[in-house]
Amino acid sequence: MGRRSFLGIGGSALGQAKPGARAKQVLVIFEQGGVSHIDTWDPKPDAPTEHRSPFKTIKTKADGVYVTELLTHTAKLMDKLAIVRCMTQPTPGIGNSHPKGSQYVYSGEAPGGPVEMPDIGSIVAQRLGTKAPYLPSHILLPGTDEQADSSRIGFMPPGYTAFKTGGSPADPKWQVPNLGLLAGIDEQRFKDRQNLLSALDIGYVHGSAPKDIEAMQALMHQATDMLTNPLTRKAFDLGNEPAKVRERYGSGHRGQCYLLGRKLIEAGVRYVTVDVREPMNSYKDGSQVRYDGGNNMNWDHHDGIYSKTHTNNIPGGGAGAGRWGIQTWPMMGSTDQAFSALIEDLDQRGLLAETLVCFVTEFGRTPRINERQGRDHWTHAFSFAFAGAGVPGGTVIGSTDRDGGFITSPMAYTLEDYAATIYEKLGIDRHKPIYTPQGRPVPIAAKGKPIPELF
Amino acid sequence: MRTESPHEINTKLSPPLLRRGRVPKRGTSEGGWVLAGLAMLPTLAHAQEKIVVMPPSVTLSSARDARQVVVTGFFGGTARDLTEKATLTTGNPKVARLVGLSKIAVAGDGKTNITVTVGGKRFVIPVAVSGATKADPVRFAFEAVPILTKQGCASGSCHGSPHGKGGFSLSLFGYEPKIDRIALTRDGFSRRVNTLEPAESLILKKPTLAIPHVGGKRLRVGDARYTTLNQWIAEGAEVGIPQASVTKIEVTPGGRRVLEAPYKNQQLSVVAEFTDGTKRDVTALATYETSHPSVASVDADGKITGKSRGFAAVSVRYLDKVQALDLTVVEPRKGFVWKPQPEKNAIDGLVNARLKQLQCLPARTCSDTEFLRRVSLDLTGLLPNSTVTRAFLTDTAPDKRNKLIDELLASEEFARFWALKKADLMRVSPRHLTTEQAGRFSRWLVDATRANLPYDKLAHAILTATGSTEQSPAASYFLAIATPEERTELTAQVFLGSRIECAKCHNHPFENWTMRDYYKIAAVFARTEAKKNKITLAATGEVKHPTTGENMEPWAKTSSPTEDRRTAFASWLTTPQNPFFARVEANRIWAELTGRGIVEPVDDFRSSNPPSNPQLLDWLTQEFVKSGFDRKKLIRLICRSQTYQRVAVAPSAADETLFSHAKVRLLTAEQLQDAIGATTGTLALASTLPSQLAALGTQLTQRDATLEAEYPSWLATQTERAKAFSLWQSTWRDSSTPRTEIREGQEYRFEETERQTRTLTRTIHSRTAQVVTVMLKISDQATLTLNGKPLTGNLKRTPTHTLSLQPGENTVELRMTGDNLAFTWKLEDDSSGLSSPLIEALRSGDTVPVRAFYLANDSKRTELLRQKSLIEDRVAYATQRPWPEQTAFTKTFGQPARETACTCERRQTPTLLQALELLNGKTSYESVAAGAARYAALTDTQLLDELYLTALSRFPTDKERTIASAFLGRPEQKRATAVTDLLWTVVNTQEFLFQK
Repeated sequence: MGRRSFLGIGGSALGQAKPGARAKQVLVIFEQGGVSHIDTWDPKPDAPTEHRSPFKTIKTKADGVYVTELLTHTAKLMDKLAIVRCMTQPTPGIGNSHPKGSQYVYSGEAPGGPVEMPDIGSIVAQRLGTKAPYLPSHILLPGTDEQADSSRIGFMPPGYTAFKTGGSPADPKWQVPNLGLLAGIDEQRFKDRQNLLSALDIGYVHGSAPKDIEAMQALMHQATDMLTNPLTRKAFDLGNEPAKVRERYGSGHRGQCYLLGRKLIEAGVRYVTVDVREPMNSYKDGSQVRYDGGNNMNWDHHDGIYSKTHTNNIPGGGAGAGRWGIQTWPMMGSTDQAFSALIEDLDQRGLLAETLVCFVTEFGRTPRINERQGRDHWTHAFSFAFAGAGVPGGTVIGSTDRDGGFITSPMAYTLEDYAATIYEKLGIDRHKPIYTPQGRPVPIAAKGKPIPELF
Repeated sequence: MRTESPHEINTKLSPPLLRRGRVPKRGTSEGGWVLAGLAMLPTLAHAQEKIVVMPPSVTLSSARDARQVVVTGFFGGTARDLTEKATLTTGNPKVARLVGLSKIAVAGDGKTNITVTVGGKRFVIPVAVSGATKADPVRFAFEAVPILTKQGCASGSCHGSPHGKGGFSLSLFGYEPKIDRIALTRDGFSRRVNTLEPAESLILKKPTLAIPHVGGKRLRVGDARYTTLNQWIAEGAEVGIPQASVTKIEVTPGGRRVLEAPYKNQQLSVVAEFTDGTKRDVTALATYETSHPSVASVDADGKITGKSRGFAAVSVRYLDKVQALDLTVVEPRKGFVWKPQPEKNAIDGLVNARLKQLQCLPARTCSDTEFLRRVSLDLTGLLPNSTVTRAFLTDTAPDKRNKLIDELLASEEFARFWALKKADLMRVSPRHLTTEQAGRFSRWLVDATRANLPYDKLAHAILTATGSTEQSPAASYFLAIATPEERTELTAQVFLGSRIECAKCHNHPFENWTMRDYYKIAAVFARTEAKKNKITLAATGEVKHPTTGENMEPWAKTSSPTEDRRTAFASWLTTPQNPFFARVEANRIWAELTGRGIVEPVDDFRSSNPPSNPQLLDWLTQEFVKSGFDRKKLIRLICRSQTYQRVAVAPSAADETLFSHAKVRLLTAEQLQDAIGATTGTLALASTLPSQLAALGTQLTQRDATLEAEYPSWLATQTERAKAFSLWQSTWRDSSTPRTEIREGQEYRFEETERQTRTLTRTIHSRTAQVVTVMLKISDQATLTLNGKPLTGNLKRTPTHTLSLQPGENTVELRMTGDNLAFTWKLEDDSSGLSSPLIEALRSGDTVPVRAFYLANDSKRTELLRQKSLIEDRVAYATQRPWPEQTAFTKTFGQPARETACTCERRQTPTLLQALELLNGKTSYESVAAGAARYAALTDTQLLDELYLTALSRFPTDKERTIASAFLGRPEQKRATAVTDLLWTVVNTQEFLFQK
């Protein structure tokens, strides 16, 4: 094993996948805020009229599987998707807020335990290392300050922290900071410096170098690779995607984030999380677009969930002022287009077979519509969707009652089960704990079991 | 219930080491049978040979009682386990029988002898048996529970996890038999324990794999532990919780033991003593664990097998009692020949003895360059400057290394850099304290280090600090952490080198610290109250044990109920006999200087984490105590040793722990930032700081003289002005005390947060009758009266109020009631910015405050003072400043944010982000660019000499000169660019980044 492949991002990749692992990489689409399951993956046409979703239940490509019309494009690919309608948070209250709920999704562990758990992606990066040494192995797109609060490194070494790109990939001028050379240092000069360094760095003169020196040298090589390898920039360069592809995903912020997710997976990144949260000042078709009132562009539809634009004028304020209704373009419109494009594209490129795609959110929304025409947080039942890496397409796992409030199927799956599913798909031994710097063994996804129907 | 005086605690928690080295003496009850001069190995001197049989006599008092016999031969100082070689015979098989080869068990009441024959010699163990015919049921808490622990059932990853496994949940490591009792006999529809058909019980069928068990095979049908569990069930699965508890366990042999190939086995015997005075052999029930399985393994019956050369600790646990045996396994290395080594002091003798024992050769002495760079970074955090380096390299005095050590130890840089190491652990940071508090505490630590305050006094002062942080800067130790629990963890980790936090929730396997210990220490801090800027002692305050709910007695008994509990604790802590205090600090100092603790990690002292060289640690501890806890003296001693001055090359690849060579270390975040600054010249030499301060002092004196000269005219003008005001206000008064800290137009918050009422008054002087507008914001209910007449209307609703003033003095009274009281008052008067206190002082002719105001308001003087304090605090130097700056650069290189007391918070493993920072980071980029001009002005030879001496403490080699000169002379490049690139290159070499 060469030095470089031995060293993952920020450290060594000692672990290896168990034989027979179905996934080589994972792409998580985290739609933050609590997507209403009853308006999307788990239609409830028989719910009482006053609380019923206004969206039609539609057939999908998979026999007997129905979704709402907000997933019209995705429905055509249902043969590749498995919907888990019996997701639940086992201890209501812990993850009922967005920061804690999001952290719960990122780490697969209820926040507030004796130690702070790292993201699933950080553990994966540590266990499996990288396939593309010129790229970070755990990337979060695009990565805002708000997400910095949900994505945690916990007790693990900082080298496994999610690499955040920042900005909006839909901005034509968008570039990833920290992955380009500093101003004033062009490639030639950097090369000159490197040459001088290799001539002058006598390194360790006595026989074999101590571990840390060897590690630092290897990391310097890797860093150099990241800074100069054209493949690094290519992986992030949306400009080299055909216009048709970019349009298929949707030329706005969400579509381009999803597309970038696919590119990074294709480039060999082990774990990619797309956490969109459209900015109010966004981009579409290469130019700026402003979503009026949109200062809360996530799925937290406490107010006016079925508003056809945004909900700025809520009597008495309201937590969701400025949020756009679920059926609008910046919400489900762009989501349906981008997600269907993503699945189709991954499949056509032959990546789906080895990539686990997870469409997740922190919780669902109440079956009842509140007095502000919104739906509130609901941790008892919600839906995730999975595709790729051996996930049986066209299946629905679990069920909820007439209005989507409670799980009626014998099985119910937790966020811990979701984490265990990811580890199992990747062939990561969950029985091997990770250790805090103090030496405390911390089991991974200890309370979870892989969702059997996904295997 | 056991109560512990500090003295008993000493015994209980003393690391086995302090009680070790005790070779069993002559044989009565204490020492066992001894036969000196045994002619067993003719090659050894007879006088040094003896055999010891333990125990010397046996009393068995119940039907299932037994004793493990351990036979040890001592040959020329080394011990050898002869238990397996010995033949035991019973004098009366109807009284005492033998189980296996070396265990004495009960057959019937009476007395007999067991004869032990070994090496042709015979020893007699008298045995007395009673109670053989009485029922001896299996005791749940003392036998069944330990078996479930021993077999791993109750471990944290199996049924001992908080949620159990497979629906079966036991208490972690059997610490709560009350929980286990319910789990075993009531839950699971009583299938787990089937008293009618014991063998059908799930707790026997599952672990024997009679039916599938996720946890695998844990028990063998018919072995001792199976039989005991089976009998317990057959007897009705009694689950009574006994009154008695274990007082101690005695492990034979204890202490330290060297196993020399080919004699690499050792049988252990474990006897538990109970509060009711009974003793029982628990060798088969105790749990064994080895710290280094590759060095030694231990089986379920307490037999140790040495495997390969090295050291290990074998921990023995029975219920909540832990003991450990330190083992060294010695094997000959093929072709190994020890060569006599130079020794500079006693350290080298002890290090070399260990190396010789484990057959590693030490490395040769390092060069002057290596020594200079190493010792400068270790003692001051800074690189030696080029002048110092030139002088040192050319000095031919034989004692120049010792002289250098002394100079560095006397430097201001030493005091600051070593104070930083302590401050790192005590949350000295504006994240936990105010900037002023952090600064004061940090400066106090620097002062203490500079003055070489004995470490016991330093600890005592910190742990008993009371009062405001102005008077008592160390009080911030308690301000930074509020709860008794956090204080317990911090104190244990810093001063006892123990990671006690696990014991907050559960007793920890193979840890000396129990939950009771944890909460007894917490009780020490229960009455230490932190308020804003002050530590006060409350008269009451207790800590409760979370499971039993009892109020915990403080760890060390106070001499009177009113004595500060911390004083008693600090006295216990800092006595020379304390098993941890001096030892932990001696080990920390060793680790700071060599890159590795003798016990590693340095804050993880426990009997299951053995020191790599126990004799060395013993000796360092002893010297440290003997010197009166003199840290500098210990540092000097270590730096002077040959061990410290070895090259960083391992002569035998195997050794990473025995100090045969120096350890290569990546510079710490602070060292690296300052080293880059020093190399590029963007950071002024620390040696220039005194002259910079002197220059500022001169400027200040000059400014003061100017100010002094201008003062009379300023005073006259201002006094005139103050008298001429047509409208001005006095200071606020609180029951006639002036409150000068309340500023016009700025929110003022009262200290107390509880509900309170405050009445403030002030006088408004008005030359004429006039109506003025006042802006008033209040946090809660308030009334405002002017000249005794209350203002009407809701004060809270409207922010502005009109006051009708009469000529002369008007009295305003503001009365507020509520929680978290705060208010803001602003009245436009014509004093144009002069504060009320100043006007009052000017009008009354009180010159002291006027003068103070005059000086404080001179911007030039303020700026000079600011510069002075920046230099005094050395804020430009990451290794010297009072609290961490936490820049992107230092964070990337692992600088701790001072969030925990763990040295592990400082991350020292290379990461990709570091590599990116070095190659492409802004910090080095800017520093290198800014420093280039200084070098560019020099000739190539001067430039290279200066650069290499500064960065690497040596002259460049000829090859380096050739390469670098060629690079600098490239025609297509501007010199400044080329020099920048050269600087960048040198600070990116491994030789620069690492300390050898």
